[in-house]
Amino acid sequence: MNLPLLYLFISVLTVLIIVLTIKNSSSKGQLHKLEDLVQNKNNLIRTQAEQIKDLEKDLKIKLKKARNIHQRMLPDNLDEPDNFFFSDYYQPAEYIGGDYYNVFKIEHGSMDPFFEQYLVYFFDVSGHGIDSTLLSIFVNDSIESYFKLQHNPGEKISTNELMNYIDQRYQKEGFPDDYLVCLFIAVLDNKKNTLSYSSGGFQYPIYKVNSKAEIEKINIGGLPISTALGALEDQREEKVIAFGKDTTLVLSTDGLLEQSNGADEYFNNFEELLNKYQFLPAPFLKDLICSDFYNFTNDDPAEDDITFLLLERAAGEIFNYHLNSDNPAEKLKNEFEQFLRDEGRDKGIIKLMKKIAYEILDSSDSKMKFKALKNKDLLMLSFEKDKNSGSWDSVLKLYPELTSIAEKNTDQNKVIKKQIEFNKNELYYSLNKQKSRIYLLFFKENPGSDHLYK
Amino acid sequence: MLEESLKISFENETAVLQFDGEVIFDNSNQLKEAAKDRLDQEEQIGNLIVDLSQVPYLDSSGVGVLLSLFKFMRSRDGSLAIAGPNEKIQRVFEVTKMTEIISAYENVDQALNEFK
Repeated sequence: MNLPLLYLFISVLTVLIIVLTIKNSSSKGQLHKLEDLVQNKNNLIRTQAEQIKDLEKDLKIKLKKARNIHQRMLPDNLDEPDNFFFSDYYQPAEYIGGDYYNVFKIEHGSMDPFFEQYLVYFFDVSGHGIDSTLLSIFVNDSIESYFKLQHNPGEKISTNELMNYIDQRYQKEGFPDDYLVCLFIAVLDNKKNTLSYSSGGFQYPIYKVNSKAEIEKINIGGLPISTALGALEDQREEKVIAFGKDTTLVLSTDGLLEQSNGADEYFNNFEELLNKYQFLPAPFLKDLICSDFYNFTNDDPAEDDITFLLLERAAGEIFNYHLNSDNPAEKLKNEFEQFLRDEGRDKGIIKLMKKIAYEILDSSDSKMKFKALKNKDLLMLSFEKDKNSGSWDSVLKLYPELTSIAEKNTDQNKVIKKQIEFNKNELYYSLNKQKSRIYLLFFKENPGSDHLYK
Repeated sequence: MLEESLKISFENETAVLQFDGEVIFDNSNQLKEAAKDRLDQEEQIGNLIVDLSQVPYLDSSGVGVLLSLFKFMRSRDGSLAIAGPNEKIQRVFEVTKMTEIISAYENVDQALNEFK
């Protein structure tokens, strides 16, 4: 072999090896650098994910706190005239919501003997977050301030004027123009048997329910309160509904009736339900609406705040009693026995009803409101204690035979029943949302009799 | 995403704003801001038609968007109309009496004719 050529070959090979070695070590270095970079990025992502998790947790805690405060701001009890039964339901879409409602007795001071009026209102602020809640607090404060600052005892209350007052106050604050308030305000006059109202914004009809007739729809609505529209005086005229005996008015914001399950809207179910069970007293109708609604959504939470109110002016004889140190249980029992004089007092289900009632009264050591309704179709009792005096769970545990209408609406396999069968040998119960009030009900007629079922 | 749900076209002094899909709480603020941004760039526009033919549902926040645009156009001494609302949206407009302040047309062409 040619020696110089061999040297040249070895030299080239050596150079090549050196170059390759350098390149290889440089690539390895780059690879290490890349690996480090990826590792750093991964660490950063992990840290940021943990931070997001912590922030979410913190936000949920704050929202839960806000919800607790918001729940406290909602009315504990609605002022209820002696001859009425009111029932309410509220469930915010998220942690808190923009719906609000209340019923309170309008004070007329020294003129009180001449008046018996109640302010009934509900409203829906667009959106359903903290911003909506804050606005709803403002609207509620405006209503309360009207009665503190603008209204004199004995003066006629115009719902139109009240609406204008809220609108003007709202405009002065200059809230953003894409918020709007849909508001319904009414005065229930228990001396005139009327409900005078004004409304603004998107509203579903008021349903006027009578136990023996088709439901009646009363369309309400009007321009909403919004800074985009400015103050609108005299746009929301006052209208009057006759509110006779055996009438339940069902009021609702849009959340309940607009709820969709993908195939249908609850609105259609709702009217059918009211037509089918219009004979139910307000608290039991409320239970049935709730169970029917959540059957409809398949127990999914609602998309919007759900608020509805039932105002029932009952037909029949009503007995009211305030249990306290001046009005002891024994006196109540005597008067109640008189109330039941024609009801077959010691027979069947009435015997059980009385047993439960007297046990409740005998074990009560605090103030309690007792109310009873009787008419030719049914007998209903209601016991209401202070909200901090515990729940009625003990009664339900002691009497497992008490039946909830909500449970009757769905069987154990979660199948919705087309027609609930009421039984005159059953005693039904209902609780209000704070569980401070329990209602007991039984029907006198055989289930399926014509006047109970259409 | 926003590009798909909001389209705007111009014809002389009239703008046609088309929403595509529900206008609800979740997207209402974004849509409102995007629409106003686009209109801000076109100062000569005096009439706005909101095409709702592709909107199946408006919640109260969606109505709030329309009211906000109504005010925006009024500040320009202009006017706002809606076109192609479905039955449900028409009902919202009737119940809220918004038809008294915002004209509603069957379709965009009809609304454009009115503004000519």
